[in-house]
Amino acid sequence: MRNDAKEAIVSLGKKLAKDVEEGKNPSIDVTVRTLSNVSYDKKTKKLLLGERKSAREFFNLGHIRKFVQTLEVAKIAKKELLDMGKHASLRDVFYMAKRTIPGSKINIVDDQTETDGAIEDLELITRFSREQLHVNANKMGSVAGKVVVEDSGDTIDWSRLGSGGWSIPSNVEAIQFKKVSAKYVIYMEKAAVWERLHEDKFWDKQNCIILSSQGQTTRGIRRLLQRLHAEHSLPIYILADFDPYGIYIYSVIKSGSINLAHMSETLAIPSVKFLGITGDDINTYDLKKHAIKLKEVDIQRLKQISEYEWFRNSKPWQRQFKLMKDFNAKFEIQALSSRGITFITDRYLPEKIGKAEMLD
Amino acid sequence: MAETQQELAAYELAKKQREISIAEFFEKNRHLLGFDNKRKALLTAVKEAVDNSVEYHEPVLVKDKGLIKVVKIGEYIDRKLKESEITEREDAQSAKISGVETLVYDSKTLKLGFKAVSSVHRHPLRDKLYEITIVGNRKVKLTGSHSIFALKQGRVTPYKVSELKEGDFVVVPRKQFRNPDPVRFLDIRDWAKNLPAELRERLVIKGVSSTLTNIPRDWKRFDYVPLSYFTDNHLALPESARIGVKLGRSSIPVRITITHELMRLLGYYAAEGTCYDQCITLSFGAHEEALMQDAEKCIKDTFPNANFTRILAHRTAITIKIHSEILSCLFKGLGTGSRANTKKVPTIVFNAESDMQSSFLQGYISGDGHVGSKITMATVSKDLSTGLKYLFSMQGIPFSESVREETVRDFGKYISKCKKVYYIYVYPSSGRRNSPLNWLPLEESGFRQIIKSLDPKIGTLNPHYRMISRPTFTFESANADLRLAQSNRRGQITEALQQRIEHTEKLLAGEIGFLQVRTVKEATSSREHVYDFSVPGEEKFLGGEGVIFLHNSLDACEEARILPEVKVEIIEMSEERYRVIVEDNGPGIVKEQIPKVFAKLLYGSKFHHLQQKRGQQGIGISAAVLYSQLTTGKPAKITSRIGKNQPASYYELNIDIKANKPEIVKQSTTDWAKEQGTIVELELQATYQKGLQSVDEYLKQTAIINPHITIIYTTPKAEQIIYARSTEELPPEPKEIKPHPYGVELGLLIRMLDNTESRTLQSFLTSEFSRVGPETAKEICHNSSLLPSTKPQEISRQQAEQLMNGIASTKLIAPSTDCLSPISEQLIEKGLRSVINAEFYCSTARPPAVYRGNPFVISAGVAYGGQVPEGAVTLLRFANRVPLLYQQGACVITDAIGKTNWKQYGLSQSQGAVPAGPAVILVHMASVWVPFTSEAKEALAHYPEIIKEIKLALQECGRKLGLYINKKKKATRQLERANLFETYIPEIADSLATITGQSKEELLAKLKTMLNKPEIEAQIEKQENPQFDEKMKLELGKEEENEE
Repeated sequence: MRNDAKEAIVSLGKKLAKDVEEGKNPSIDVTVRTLSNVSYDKKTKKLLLGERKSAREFFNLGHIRKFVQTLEVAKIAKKELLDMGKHASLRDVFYMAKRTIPGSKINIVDDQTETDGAIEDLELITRFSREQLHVNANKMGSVAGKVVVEDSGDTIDWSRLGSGGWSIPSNVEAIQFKKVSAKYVIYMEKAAVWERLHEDKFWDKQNCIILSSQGQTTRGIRRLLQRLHAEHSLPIYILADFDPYGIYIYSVIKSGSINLAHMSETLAIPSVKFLGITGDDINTYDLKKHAIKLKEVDIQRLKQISEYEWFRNSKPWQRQFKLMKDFNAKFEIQALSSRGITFITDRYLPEKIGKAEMLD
Repeated sequence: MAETQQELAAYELAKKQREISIAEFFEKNRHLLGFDNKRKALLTAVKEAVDNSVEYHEPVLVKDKGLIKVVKIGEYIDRKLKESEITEREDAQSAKISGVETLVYDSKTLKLGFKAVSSVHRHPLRDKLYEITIVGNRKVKLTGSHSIFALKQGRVTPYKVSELKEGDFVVVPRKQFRNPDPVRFLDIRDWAKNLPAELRERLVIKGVSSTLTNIPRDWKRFDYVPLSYFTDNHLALPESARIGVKLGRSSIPVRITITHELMRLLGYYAAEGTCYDQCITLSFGAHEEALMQDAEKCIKDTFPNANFTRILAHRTAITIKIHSEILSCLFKGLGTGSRANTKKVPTIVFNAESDMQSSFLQGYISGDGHVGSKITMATVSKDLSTGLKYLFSMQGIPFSESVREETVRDFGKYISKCKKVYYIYVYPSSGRRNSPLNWLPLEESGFRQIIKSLDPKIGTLNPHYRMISRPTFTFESANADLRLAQSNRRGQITEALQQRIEHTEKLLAGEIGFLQVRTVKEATSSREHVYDFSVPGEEKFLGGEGVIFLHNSLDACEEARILPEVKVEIIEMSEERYRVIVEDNGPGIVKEQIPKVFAKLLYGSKFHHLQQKRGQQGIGISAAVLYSQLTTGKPAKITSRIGKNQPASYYELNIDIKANKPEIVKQSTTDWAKEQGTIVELELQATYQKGLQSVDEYLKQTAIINPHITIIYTTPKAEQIIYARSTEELPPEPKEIKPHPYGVELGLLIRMLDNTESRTLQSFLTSEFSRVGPETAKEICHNSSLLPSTKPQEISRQQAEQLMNGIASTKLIAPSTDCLSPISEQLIEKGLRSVINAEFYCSTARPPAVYRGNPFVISAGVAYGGQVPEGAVTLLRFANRVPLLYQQGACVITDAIGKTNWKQYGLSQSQGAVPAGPAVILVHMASVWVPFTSEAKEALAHYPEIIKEIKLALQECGRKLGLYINKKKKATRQLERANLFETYIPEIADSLATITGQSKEELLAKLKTMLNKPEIEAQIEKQENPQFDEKMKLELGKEEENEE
């Protein structure tokens, strides 16, 4: 596997060296990763990347910087990681690439989004995933539930890991599920909510898995969710704030994102359901007084999201968007705490899951 | 009416007080000296001797009574102060001197020449002392606020030592300086006076006794006449006479022609000689036969009668001994020094013709120099090394130096002590071209820019111009390149470029060179005083161990024409208590008027005169006195002098608050060195702060808008800030006109009616106002429903209002505009340049316009880039040359700036706001009647005519600014593109080599050749912004995986 990834990089290098040899402007074909080359596949219900490619040239003022960055990252992946058998984080790669070109004021990269982008491009060019190129994201997120896994030779019982739970590694490919007795998975946007549920032993009472990350849903978590769903047919429920951002998180897990459209195959979970909180919950559980007024950006985002292809024709979702607009407010999950600290564990979730009150 | 007469006299006087007399200065400070709060501005007088000075031991080149000398500045000035009448100011002493000149370069032609020193100064060292080291290890010690000339942005201007940075280029002589009237003879009268008295008394003149009568018989008998006989009786010495020592055998002519042989001999002496009482010796190595023969030839040719012998001192050394007591006297008199460590370059050498100086150097170098690729000279005499350096400088020969400290080496059996050695190195003539002295700094001189403007492709694509990659370039090849670039130039050369070319040609033709500063270090002095020269006109002198042009102190009043100079000093007495001293060199105040001017509120109102004035009401200074009295109880101390024939008057004054009368606490006449001027000293409760509305800012802005004034300001923190005048052009004196009826307000009208001497309303109108004739006056009366024959004093308030309305409804001719003293475009620019360090300046002055019958003139200026900070643009608002610091938001100037579209001129700006960018915008309004929004006089009122004029002025500046910014942006963009590929090539080659294992060098070479392909060149010259393929990327919130 490692050698294959290395081969791919070397052949990219040889192609470019040949261009130089022949006096041609060195150029790399990169699949275009913009909205225009991403389409929603109604059959698989996933965002998929199209075939359109664009040439990235060295002697081109508009391309040169990205060109150099892509090659820099390729060099790092080959020489520092694959050749050495080492793994690095995205942040590591950024620092490995970050330097000033001698005799100039130009930095190869100025901030991490640039190396991150270059790595994603390299994934597309080589057809090997970031993890296969030995680049990992940081660990982020916790899980607890009645599951036993094996990771790097250790057997881990997700139900016996104290108050912190098991922290999810960035690369979950090597994990093997030994025993899965949980019936479903709740993924929550907020670590604080996870802590609440964990303290209340919700996963034990309800025989489920609770999973969260710090804010953004990392690839590793998405992949873990996807594997739990695919390999053990567990339903996945999303618990997020009732705001455009929470809904966006749901949307990404479900259909994938434009940025990572090339990974949708292994990351997207079209059958995932939105558990809450919903506009209806606000009324049902009398949370109106905890409204947070929508800002201008929120309204913009709401408008964008409501026009996503997979939301556009969904009446229930359009109803939710309308509710949010009418409230002119967003609501956090923690608003439920106003009804008592264990209200979410004792009443809200059991009721919602019991009634299967979910949005698709 | 005696009182009125006096008042008129006072007014007449005030009128003469051009620009910035104390009274007016304070008057205008009223808004800083707000009496309601303690955030207060405080003003002052500064010590006469300014703190910019040179350390005691530093040598300087002077021409004293026609003789060029290199002297220690401290020793020299101490002596001058002893000889002259000293002006003492606090702890500093100054003296006017005459007959002394120093070597300067002409600011216009950059040629070397002598210029008179007008005075010398000494004061205790208060400031930090710095030692500057430049290329060649040349050094000078100066105080931090002393300035030194440096080349920046194509200009040679003085920079404070404390602001000088490593890498700056300072000015030194480059070309040979030919003394216009060289000394050709050694004359007994010149050298004998340098001898100690007991030796001088022994000198006798031979061969003249027979021509004299009435002299002692002994003199005739032994044919000698003491030299003192001639000097005491002022008798001429016959040229044929000879001079000897009493009882001595040898003699020399009283007048010796300076020859190459004499100079070489002096050179040999400086290298090898020792001077004893009875003889002189020169020591050579036994192998230096040729040298000895030449030395002997020199002795024989110069002093045919001298008796000398060779002595084998030891196996390898031979000494030539000249047995002549008179020759020993001569050498002592010439100041050659007697021993190795006291050797000097004799003064006569500096004054001899240039080729004679060469002979001296030739003698010295053959004796003491080691000739290799460089010539190395070593001496244990510091004075000799200093003299040699000055001599090389005068010869236009680049030199460098070093010092080896005293060392003691222990060899076990014996200890070897090596004295401190001063080394000087020069290139043989063939190598001098390579000396940094002959290099023109390409960037700083603006030369590179010019070449690039002439031929923009230079250096990026055209390998012919190798120069572009080098930081410096010799003057010679610069000349050639300039000509080449000019001839290559296609198309028109703009006027601005032509001017810069001419400027550069001058630089190339000049006789000064530029050497880079290596280090600027704090230094110490064993002396408590530091010293300075005043050189009016050029304000520089040649000095320092490193032989550098130094900037001298600013001494304005020396010139026949008095240019205004204001000194402001604020001393912190305790927290919230300050002493403010303001001193000017204005026309002073008549003794009798002093109490009233300073201690009577509302004195000297000027309401019936209309003339542009810095101040407009007489409340200021006396209010300040009152404030001081109320808060500290201390009287105001005033010293004023109106001319050299009058003594200075001194007063201590309080205000009798009940009667509004001056209360004289103390009165006397006093001595004051200045011929005219005023000092006001007040003590008051206040707080000192920095920032936009501070005394500091007020004075800075005053300096900008009054470039003809020098302001010396000492802050409560004892820092001294000097705003030197940047022009000597005084503003034209405004003409006085009578008020125009449209500009008069009710209160003023009532006062005028009360005070007029006219008997009828009609004659009041015609005599007190401009543009009102008898017919117009009648019309006004008619429109006001008042009888033309009404007595002015009997007009009631209500009738006065009627009169106002009548004036408003009568059509009148606009007033003439020659009552204004607007400031010209050039002066605005100069003012900005002298205080704000920017890279671009422009200015404009509008023709006169009229609002409500009042003539006014708007001028504006912009300074951009350089060290101007980013962020909201700084506004400088002025009315009649007075800065407006408060209420910026309420001012019409702010409004007009907001209403001007600056985006099109390259600054960013949100709708209607003050623009943002590294710029300073200045607007000045000159008017006889400035429409302030309130009595506080802090902001100008909104009149459509004024807004329009300001906008027009700003737009004119804006267009110039826009051109500059655009050009700059375009140039940067092209250069960046050109460099971009070149910069990235090694990176890409390295990456590819690492990935594929191929040779990096081959890839590198291949890629470089591709640079010259036409399609790639086309990319460089492409005008539009590069199109990024990322452009279409839709921002869908945060990136998913942007982990920290």
